[in-house]
Amino acid sequence: MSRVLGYLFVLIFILSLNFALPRFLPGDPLTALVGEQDLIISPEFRQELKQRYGLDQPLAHQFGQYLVRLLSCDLGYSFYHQAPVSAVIGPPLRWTALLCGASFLVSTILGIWLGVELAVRRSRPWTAAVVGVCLVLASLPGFLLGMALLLGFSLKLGWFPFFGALDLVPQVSGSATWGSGILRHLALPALTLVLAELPGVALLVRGSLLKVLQAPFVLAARALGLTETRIKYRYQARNALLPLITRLGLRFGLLWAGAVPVEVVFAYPGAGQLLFQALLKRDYPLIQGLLLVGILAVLAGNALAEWGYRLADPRVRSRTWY
Amino acid sequence: MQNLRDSGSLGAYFRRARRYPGAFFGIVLLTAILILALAGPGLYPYNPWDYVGKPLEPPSLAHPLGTNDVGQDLLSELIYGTRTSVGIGLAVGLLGVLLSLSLSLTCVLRGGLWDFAVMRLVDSWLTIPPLLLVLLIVAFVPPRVPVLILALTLFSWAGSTRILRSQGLEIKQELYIEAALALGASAPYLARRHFLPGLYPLIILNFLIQTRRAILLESSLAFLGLADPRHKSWGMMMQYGMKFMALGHYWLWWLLPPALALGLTLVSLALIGFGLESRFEPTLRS
Amino acid sequence: MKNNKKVVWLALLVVILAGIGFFSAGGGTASQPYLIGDPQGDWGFPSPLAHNPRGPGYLRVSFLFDTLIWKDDKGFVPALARTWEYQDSPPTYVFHLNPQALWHDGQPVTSEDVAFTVAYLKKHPHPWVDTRPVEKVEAPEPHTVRLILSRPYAPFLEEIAGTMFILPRHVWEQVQEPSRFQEPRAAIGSGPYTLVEYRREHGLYRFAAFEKYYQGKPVVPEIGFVQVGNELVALKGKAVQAASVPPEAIQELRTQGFTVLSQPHFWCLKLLFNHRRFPQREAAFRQALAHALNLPDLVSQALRGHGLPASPGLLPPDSSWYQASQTLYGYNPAAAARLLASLGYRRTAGGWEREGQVLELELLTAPAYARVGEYLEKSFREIGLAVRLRQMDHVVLDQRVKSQQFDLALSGHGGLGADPKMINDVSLGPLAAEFLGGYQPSPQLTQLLADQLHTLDQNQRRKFVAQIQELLARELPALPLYYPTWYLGHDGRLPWFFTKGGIAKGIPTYFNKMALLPQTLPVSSP
Repeated sequence: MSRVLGYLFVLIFILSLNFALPRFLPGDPLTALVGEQDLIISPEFRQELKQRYGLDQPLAHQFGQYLVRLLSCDLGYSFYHQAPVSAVIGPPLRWTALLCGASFLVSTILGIWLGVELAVRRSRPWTAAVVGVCLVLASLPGFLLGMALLLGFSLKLGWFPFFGALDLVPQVSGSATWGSGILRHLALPALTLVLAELPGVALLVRGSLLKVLQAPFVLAARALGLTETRIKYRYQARNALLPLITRLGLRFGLLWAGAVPVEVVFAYPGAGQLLFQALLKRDYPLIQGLLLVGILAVLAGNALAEWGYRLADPRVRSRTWY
Repeated sequence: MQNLRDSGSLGAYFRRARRYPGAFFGIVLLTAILILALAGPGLYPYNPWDYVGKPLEPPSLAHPLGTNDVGQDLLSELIYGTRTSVGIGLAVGLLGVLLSLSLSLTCVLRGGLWDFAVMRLVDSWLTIPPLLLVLLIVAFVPPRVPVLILALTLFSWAGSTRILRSQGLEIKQELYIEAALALGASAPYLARRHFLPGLYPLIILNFLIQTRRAILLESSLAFLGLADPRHKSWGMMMQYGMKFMALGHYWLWWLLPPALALGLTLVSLALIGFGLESRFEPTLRS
Repeated sequence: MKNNKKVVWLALLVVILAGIGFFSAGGGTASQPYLIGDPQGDWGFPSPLAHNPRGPGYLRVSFLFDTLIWKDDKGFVPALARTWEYQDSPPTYVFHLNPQALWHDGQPVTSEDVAFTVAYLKKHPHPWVDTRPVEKVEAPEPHTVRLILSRPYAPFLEEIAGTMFILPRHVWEQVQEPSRFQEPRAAIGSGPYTLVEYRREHGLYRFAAFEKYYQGKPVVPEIGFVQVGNELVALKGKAVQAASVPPEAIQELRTQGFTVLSQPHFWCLKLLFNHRRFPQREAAFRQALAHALNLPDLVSQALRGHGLPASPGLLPPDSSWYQASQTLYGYNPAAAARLLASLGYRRTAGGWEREGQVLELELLTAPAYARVGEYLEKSFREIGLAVRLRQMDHVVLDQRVKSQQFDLALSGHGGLGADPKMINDVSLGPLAAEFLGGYQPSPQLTQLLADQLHTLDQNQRRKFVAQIQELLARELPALPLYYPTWYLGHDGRLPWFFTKGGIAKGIPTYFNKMALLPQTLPVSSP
């Protein structure tokens, strides 16, 4: 119950912030709705906008209207794009989902594998070096790695394209090349995110695994004659994974946010690039809509991860359902 | 976490340091960067706001990193940027730690409803993605340095509070606390004499973590164009440098130095943190 | 055992990567579209009433829709109208439409469409076309249309006939909300290209040549615009075939075989004065500040030499209406000091003092012009004038300027190559506050501005415009600082040229669709 209340509280806080912040803008409150497109706004239209958004109404009323609009998925209207915000956000969001999803999957799976190896073979000489490399990579921001990859592999070597998410010039018509075009454009940004996330996951798994390695049940398993791989994955890793799962939701949120600068570096047309452009053009309705969707997505991810944790950990499952 | 109050003579300190080469290296690096930030502006002759040379000059004796697109010395931009980025990071780390320390101590000592409320707040707060929310704030409120510090602190106190609180609770179990309470010790006294010493390592560790995260966030924001325009910053330098990325070798002295500076600062903080962690958690040592 | 499994996984990974490489490297014989790179990307759906009102938005629509007349590098050329003539009373323009003109869906273009367009635009105005001067439209025959004006209107050919996209009546008749009409049908025009693909998030516009275009099928089968992160990178990497490039790259690009063209200077950065405050409203003060600046030096510092110091009469030498000003403001700190003194200011150690108060002003600048602001601050300090530089977001700056809450501000605008009506737009009317800081034109200037608008005799008009520039130079309502030089780099395949005065109403870009047509038609016009 308290968990649910907690999420509710955060939701209300974010919505209120999203509602209140545009009022901080100096000058005409209409700027927040219109951005800098008042070239085409005639005085009659201004009046109409004021009425439609109830800008002369009391704040509480405006907040209520705002909530109602959100419930019907009306995120506002972007005058720069001459389209509702929800329509503008749609396609880029799919690209970002592709990018984040692929990176998340790869970095989690590889990270678990690497973390397990690092923990189990901790006496080997190369382990310390790899841990060091992981530490370095984990502390660097994504866009630095991205810039390095862009400079090296796109500019100097020419192996990967510099912008976009798919081949605009289909070399040979057919869905195979369309797919491979997407993969080529996806490769470097995804690699950047993977390099940024993987070390963190690996170190986390390694840390929690080291705590578990000498646990009694491991000794018992060995005594029973189980193979090392089996012990590694079915017994040790599984227990060490619990802290990872709790953090999965958080990690997803970080990945989502980290994708913003990376998309800017690679001119990848996802939600992050859209946000960057919106910030440049001060398209406030779009900025608000994007950030709201992003934050809500992360919250949802967190909630899911927490729920998954409760399912996965048998110690918790037996307790009360909340 | 044992061995928290080892005697510390300088010799013993260095002997201990040698056992943790990573952390030692990190400390050396960090000190170098701090010196650069503090003393640099005084020692280096150029001011990054003056037009001191021709635009887009390659490195020379007079300008070790060349000049930018309007003739301002790049090395001075780097030095002043160090001050901004590291300064903001340290301020956020300090504020964050202070805030989380006071909150966690009051939770431990007071308990009850206050503890419950604060912890629920912390749990919820941790689910918010920091970058996205700071972006939201800074998009509407002009990004001056105080605003940045406040916004970044807003997202750094939660994690530390939880960690400090759990450690504080462990300390609370100790017998000497019971004894002190029996003798009539007041809460501030307890906090000062018993809890604080036990929490020192964690405090330092969290300070490092928060500082590191703040520097990273600030650079990301500056890279996206949301920095205080009155102060030079690494992220801004890199954003400008990217424009000239494809032109000859400009990236070598425009993009690379701030990237290196940022990377080294973050890595040094991480190394020190890692060293501290292994010191107090021997199972982590490899 | 374990090692074998690892090898298998690794081998699989290699095979997958190789497969990707193979597929993408696989040679293609499909036609390559000619791509133009743009840093901003999305400029709205390419329909005449849904595009982003800025220049690039209009430009993209111009490939899909034609106007009555168009311009090439020398002047007006036929478009939908093959010939046209002017009749005196009442002032009427008669256009004879090209009977071969077709809409993309095969229907013929008729005078009904023109009449409909004018009527529709009166209800749903296009941000660039002011249809008020047109009083009546008559369509006596299917390919003859008469536009009757209320009074002689000099900019008519450029601003209306040369800018107004003709809409197909059969498509737009039922459309009530034109800006939200963004289906494929909205892009049916009579221009040389049809819309193939529009991807908002990529800023991608793909156009295919319209076979039955009345001026002949375009030479380039497919052309498009796309958003790129870094134009230079994209151009050098052959991902796009044309893009604007920074001046530093010119040498390198030329040696690599690219063509680099410089654009005529049609954009200007100005120092705005708030005419509601003292001493900004005094001409002597503004002239003093003009003398305090070394404009050629400013250009070499802020623009690395790639620009022109501005003419105080506002119009650049590249404009065909340019008249060299008699009044010049060379760098002359002594003259500046004298002018300030003439206003009652006394030079003291603390600055310029008058009635016990030291003069201190605030200069607003957007981050893009921070360097210029710093330079100005330094220059003014050297004549003893204390100016505080304040950087702010350009949206906030525009707000402050519009509400006249500033001392000095840096702001720029383009369109300087267009018809001199542009000067009217910036000096009178609702935009005056934004463009000239609330300057009240003298009765003489106002009269001249009105006259030049309604004089059809080119020579007479030219004299009026010259006088206007001279007055502006003397009065200096705003101080023009410089015209930056912008460069276009492309692979040399297409004969891009610069339209006289800029495309349509003065868009300063190179991408005139005429460069894509087979060069068979005669050029020039009345």
